[in-house]
Amino acid sequence: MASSHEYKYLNPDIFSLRRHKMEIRILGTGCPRCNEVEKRTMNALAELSMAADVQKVKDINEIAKYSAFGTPGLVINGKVKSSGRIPSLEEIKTWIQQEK
Amino acid sequence: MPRKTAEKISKLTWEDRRMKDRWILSIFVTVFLAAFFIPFGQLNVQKALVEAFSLLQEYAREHVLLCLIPAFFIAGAISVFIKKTSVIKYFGAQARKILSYSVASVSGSILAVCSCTVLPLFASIYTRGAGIGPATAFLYSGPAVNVLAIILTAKVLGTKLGVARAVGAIVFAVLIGWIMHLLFEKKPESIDAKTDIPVEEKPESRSLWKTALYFSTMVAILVFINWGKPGTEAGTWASIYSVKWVISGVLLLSLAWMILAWFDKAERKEWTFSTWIFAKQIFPLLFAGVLMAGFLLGRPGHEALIPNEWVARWVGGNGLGANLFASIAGAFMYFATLTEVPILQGLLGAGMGKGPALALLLAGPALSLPNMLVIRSVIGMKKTLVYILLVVIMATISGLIYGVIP
Repeated sequence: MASSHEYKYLNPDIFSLRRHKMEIRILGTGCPRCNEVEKRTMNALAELSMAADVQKVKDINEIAKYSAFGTPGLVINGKVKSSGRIPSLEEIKTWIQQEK
Repeated sequence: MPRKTAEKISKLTWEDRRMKDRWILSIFVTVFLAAFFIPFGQLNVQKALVEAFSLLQEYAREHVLLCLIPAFFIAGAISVFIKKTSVIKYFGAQARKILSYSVASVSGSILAVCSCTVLPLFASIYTRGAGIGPATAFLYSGPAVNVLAIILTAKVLGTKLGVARAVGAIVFAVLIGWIMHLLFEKKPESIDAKTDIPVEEKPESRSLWKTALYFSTMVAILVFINWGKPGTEAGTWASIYSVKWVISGVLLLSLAWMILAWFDKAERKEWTFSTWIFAKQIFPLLFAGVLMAGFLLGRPGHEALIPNEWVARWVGGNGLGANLFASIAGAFMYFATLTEVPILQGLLGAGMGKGPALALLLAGPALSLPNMLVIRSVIGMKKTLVYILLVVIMATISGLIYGVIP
């Protein structure tokens, strides 16, 4: 596991974002459609050169705690942005900028 | 705290990679053990191997181009172009109960294009929405009424069994949901959070009739290119058969026009992409399932590794025992998406009765051992046991009924 030191070296920006850290959760049990949403989210963050706490939520009972019906779901800062479909890269970028 | 963020991110990719490596390792071990232990010199094993590849060839020649690929395009279109919020509002805590049940039992066709979405939706409906009744109704019918399952069942196992599967799933889903609701009515206070259905969908870009026409054209194409050769030379069915390629061609051209005129480039891209994801996910499983079914059971009329007498003894005819056995076996067995179809084809060819076949089709994809564990984590041990019992009973009853229909 990479230590925080290594991370600082790789991406010094990550800690400056701590003040308003963005939380992104990808809901899905690990099917290819959910992985696609994760990939697009990462690409969106990279294109905006932003860092965020991105986690996949795979446990079904955890997924059910969000008010998202259907997987894959995308949650940014606790708000369900999409569910049951794969949003486009542009959509994800817009949502990330809204929540910045 | 910053350290924690970094750890979380690195852990994410690290764990994914480790899972993937474990998965690859387990495939290696399986292939190695198979290569090590299977007695390929024996005549019956060689026969079974030939059967496996013959069945694979049958699928490649008969079902892939004209049935599976169009079906994947329809599934992709459903997942991209049908707005799900209109359906999901019936799962809310405030929705009217009768509507919830009926919507829950049929909506699998729209919401659960692949079976991996059934369980999370079930958990959501149970914990945040309409409660245990509609949730279990959805759980039971979801795997049976999704487009891919219905199309492949009808194509490979016959239209009658395809329709019986869908109808049986829908009718008995309502019944199971209703019984679960009567037994374990959820107390009102447990519905704490007023379920807010996310309103994130973009406004509809084309009118409803265009979407409807687009979908019905696709379904019509699928129906006409698979139009079977009728037994007689005369009659409407025969005359439709003689012009089926003309009709399909005209429909295909009009579909092409619709796609170009009504959809923009981004939408077309999403559609193909979504189709591709389904294909990528399901084709390898189906490939393995067909080989396995062919190896163990053979094509209809050919015997492979498992002797036909065994099949006939356990699930032949239409007795209570055969139906019950098929239901219980189906409930515990794990079927990857769509693989129930080649397995059923093998079993039917080896002498399985049509009643038990329906029982297995209904209980099989709806339940499996790993599935049961997940369901237990959502609704608890007692409810899960009752649900399993209900599924086995209902599947048995459906099988018995279907078995006596001529």
